[in-house]
Amino acid sequence: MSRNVVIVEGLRTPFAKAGTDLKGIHPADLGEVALRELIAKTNLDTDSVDEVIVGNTGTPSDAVNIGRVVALRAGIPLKTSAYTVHRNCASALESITSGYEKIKSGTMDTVLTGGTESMSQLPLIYNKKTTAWFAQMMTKKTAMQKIMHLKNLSLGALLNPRISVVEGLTDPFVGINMGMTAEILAKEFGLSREQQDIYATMSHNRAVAAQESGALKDEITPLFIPPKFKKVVHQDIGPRAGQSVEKLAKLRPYFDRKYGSITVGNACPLTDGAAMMLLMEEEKAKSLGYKPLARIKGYAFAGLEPERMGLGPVYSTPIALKRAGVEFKDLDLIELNEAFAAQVLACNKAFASDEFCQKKLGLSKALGEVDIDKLNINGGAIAIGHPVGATGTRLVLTLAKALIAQKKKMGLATLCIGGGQGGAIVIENMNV
Amino acid sequence: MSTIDCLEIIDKGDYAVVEFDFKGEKVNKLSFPVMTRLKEVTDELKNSKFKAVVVKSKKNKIFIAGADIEEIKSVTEESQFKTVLEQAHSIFNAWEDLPMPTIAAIDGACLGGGCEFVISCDYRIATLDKSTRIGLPEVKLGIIPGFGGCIRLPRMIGVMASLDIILAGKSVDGKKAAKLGLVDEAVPKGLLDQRVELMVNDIIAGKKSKRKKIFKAKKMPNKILESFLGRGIVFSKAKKTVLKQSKGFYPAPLAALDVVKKSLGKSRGSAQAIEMAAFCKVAVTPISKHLINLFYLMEGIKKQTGVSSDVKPLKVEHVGVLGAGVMGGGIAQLAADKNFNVRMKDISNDALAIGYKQASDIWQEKVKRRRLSKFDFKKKMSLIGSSLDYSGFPKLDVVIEAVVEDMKIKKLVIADTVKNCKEGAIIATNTSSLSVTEMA
Repeated sequence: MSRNVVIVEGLRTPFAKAGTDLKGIHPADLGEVALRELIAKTNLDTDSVDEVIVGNTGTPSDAVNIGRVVALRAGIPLKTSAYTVHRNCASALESITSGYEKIKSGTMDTVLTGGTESMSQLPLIYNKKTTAWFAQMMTKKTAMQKIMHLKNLSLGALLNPRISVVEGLTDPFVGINMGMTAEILAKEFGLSREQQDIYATMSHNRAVAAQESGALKDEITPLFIPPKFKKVVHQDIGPRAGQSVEKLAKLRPYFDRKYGSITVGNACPLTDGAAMMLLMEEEKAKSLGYKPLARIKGYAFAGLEPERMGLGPVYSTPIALKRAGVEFKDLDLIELNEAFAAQVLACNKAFASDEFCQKKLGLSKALGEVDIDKLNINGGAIAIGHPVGATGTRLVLTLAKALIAQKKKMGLATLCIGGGQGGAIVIENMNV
Repeated sequence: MSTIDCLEIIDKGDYAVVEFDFKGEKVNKLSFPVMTRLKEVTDELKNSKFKAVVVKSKKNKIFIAGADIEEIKSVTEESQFKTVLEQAHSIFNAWEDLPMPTIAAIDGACLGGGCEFVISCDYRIATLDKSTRIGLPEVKLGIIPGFGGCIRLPRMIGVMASLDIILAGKSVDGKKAAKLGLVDEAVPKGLLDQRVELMVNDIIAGKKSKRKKIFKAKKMPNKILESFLGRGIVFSKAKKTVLKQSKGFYPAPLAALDVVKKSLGKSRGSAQAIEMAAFCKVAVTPISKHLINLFYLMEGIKKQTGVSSDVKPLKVEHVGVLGAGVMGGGIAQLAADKNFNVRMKDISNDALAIGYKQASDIWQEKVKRRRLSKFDFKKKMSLIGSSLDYSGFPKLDVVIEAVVEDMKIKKLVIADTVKNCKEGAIIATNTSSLSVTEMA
């Protein structure tokens, strides 16, 4: 008896650029709001939840298993197990695919998945020398010893902390950061500055249009900002009305000052936000009276060289399609995470290139042309933001809702993954 | 031989344990018959061979709850009080003068006369249990500590700390009591017997003996304030505070202050005479009678449920509040504080924000005063969710309507809400003046 895994519903917080409106909110709290409101929206019987899986890359030291913290705070019973997953940029997608496996295998029926990230709160870390100084200080017993040890503190070392967000975005295998991987792709695929800025502008325009038309309203739950609760954030802070190629042209390349084309304008910003999603076995969902959004058809993760991680979607998509029994041409909508405009454009070229698909993926020919009218139709991470641990769920959620709104059937959500991987998932609208 | 079954001496060989279990009563209290029995026990112990005496209570969460207010309630003659107090002092003094050291093992409420009893013991060990409260609430009933509290307490923990307790009718928990020196140790409940035994062994081995605990201030400026010179400042400040808070309407705290002031440095007998005289004066005042009456009324209300005894309470886990804002937020806060899951609903996010702010502010007050930990605050805030639609409403057991005080609006809101609630959900209104029947 074959079991199907369906997406019953999802909900996310608004996303905001790091250092802005959501900077004071702990990622566990972001996740808590998304989950608690999802439970309320679905009138979910929390006693029936088998597992809670939450993606997160920042691992705050005061919430090391953030999945458990989010679950308990959101009202999940003490008896329900919960854990945290990390697959870099696709952590939240990993939560979905892990949940998928638990349900598909018959081990579980109801799994809450999702992800959360506060990139604003990624800490500064004392470097080795300063940490050693602290450790020595703790061994000093008398007040005099402690005072004498003060002079051993190297001010230079103290003032040079490790910046964890920078380290997190630098690949440890090849030692280059995400922006530089995009530069590599921009140069190899011949993507001009102007092309990237045009794409970035489109992302903003589409996002703003989606906000104005209310297309994203159903997937977002507002955040009431503590401690004063004077401010309410009810939609994404990132999308800019009136974004233009002219405005973007003024920015200087960030990662390669001399020959580069990647700027902060055609790349996704560091972002804070959370998203949660309810997965269930199909028959169970229907018996409870739910009308699920979509059925998960198949997924795949694939690896490639870290310095070209941006092409991850191209590597993982064909495997996902095969597992789903779906052809590239059958895809009605695609959500491809916009880590960088250059990276999206490079993927599009690779998808359509016979040479690339044959040589690198071992396929007989190109997967196909990506129709720009099917791609990220409500805007993407360049405008909305990319809270690393949460994006995977946002993409699947927004894709599922868009399929229903557009009355289309088949969707693909795919991300490039820092570290040299790609993730892809194929879903089928159940309401068409 | 008294007929009251309340105190029993248990022979443990070298030492005795006096168990206080007032049979037939919910709490241990120092009523007149009990005090008579206490005298008997004291006499018996005086002539015994025991090297130490431990006093403990067998009642759960109660050590000694105080005197018997019934006995005070109806007395209107000063002379009647005088007789009782004289006897009480003689009994407590005899206890204090027992040849062997006495240890009070305090778990649960130890208030009023109970507190006065334990400070006439040589040693005190309290538990850290939440129910353990030690203090002198007499002024709340319009009287003053009359069994020696005004006299023994200042000598034991200093003038400032004792005025703090006596004038406000305060009680402290085990931890604070240990900090003040009111008890010698505050231990987890499970370790009480063990720690008491250790202390008994020390006494039997001669390491600890009979003592009169005298307060010694530790740091400046307390050293000055507690001294003969500085005390005047303390008394004058205390008087100002009492007058400010009571606005001159309540004589009891001022009388207590006066007793403490006048009795410091006097012999036990003279000091007790001062306390007695002041007690008799305030205890016959109408104010005291009224306060005692009020106390009984409040106790009575606690017992009333408003329904017959065979009605079973509904299990309520989820509560809804219609209309956030200051009122709704306050209701949400109260419900979440009692561990209900709460959903606030309103027509705008800004209104919901006010609700959150209200709830947060109320708890933050407690956090500031260290009555609520940051973790518990977070837990309680997490119980409150909100939306502009009826998300979460099908789960609600009770919905409280707190929207605008307008019958038309209330009717609309209630009608709309009912459609989204489950069968058997209770809808309640927070209206101050509109007809509930009409709303229904």
